[in-house]
Amino acid sequence: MNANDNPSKANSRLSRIKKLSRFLKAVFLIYFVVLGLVLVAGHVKTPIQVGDQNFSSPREIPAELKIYEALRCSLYLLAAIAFYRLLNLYENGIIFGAGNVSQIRQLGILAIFYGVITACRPIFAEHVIMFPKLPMDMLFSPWLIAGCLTIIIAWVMDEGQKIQVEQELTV
Amino acid sequence: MNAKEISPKVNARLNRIKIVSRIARLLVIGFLLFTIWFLLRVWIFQGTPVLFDKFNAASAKAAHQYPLFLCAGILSLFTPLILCVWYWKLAQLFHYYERGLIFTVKTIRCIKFLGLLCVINWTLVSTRHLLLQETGPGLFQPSPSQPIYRMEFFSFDFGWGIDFGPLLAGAIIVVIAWIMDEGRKIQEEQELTV
Repeated sequence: MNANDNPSKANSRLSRIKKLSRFLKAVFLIYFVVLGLVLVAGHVKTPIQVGDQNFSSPREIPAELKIYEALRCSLYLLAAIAFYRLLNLYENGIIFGAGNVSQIRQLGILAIFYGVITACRPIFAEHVIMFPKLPMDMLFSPWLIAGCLTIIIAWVMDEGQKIQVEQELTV
Repeated sequence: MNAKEISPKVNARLNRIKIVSRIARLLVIGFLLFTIWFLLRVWIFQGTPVLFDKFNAASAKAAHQYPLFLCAGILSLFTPLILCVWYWKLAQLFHYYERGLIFTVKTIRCIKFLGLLCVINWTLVSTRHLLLQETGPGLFQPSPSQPIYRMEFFSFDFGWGIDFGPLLAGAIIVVIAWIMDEGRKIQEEQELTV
């Protein structure tokens, strides 16, 4: 392996990463446009389906359920933005940077919020708090577990990246 | 800034990583043990898996559909097994972090394997669902009141009763692990460059 070979190898690897990130970005854009259209179509046609319940007009949907859906939609949107930013960083050749870690952490936090909101759905829809069920649903929500694990992995990566930077600074 | 000043900082960070990773690993092992206990409780203390029960198999339209039912039963045995392997690999990942291996081949392979397990699990669950559809309406069929399509974040169904979300999640984990692996190789090659 010589010095002349290495930059071309690295360049080909970087270009592969760029291509894949660009492709994923396009797929995600299409996915979120389709998701948005499906959501809009679901609210235009009647009956409007919100979770398991059907409503004949938007006015019939209770305000609490509207808030719940708005929260869920905003979480989708924030997660999409975070993932898009992460792919942007990969496309720019930044793979182990602080920005990547922060986006991964953000995805984890959003997953936790999503798990909590989904578990709280009965409060919004039926105005009831089932005591042992609600905390158990929250505790064993796959979103909550996945979110916590993602945050821990992001934190470890962040620390690892800081260690690398500090070791590079060592004379 | 000299080496003597930086070294304790690095050590402190490594110690923090060790403590957090150990806690995470113990939690994951806890989940693994809970899953095994739960499965044993269902399978041994409450009887055989539901799909192997001949009374449930009798709900299949005809006797020739029993092999399909049995195949679906065998597949449903694999999914909890995959969950156990998934927890085991996750515990292994935290064990690597505990040892201070953060951006190494082993950790990246571990993340890739976790993504692959998600994809394999999705394939098994989807195959099982399709096999059960072949046996006609029964205990595991979706109710007719279910929507034709369902589209949520990392969970979407085009009306076939198959959730494509886990497939997407698994594929994304594999792709991110691949990107990290490529990044690691670039770093290694640049270190070797004279």
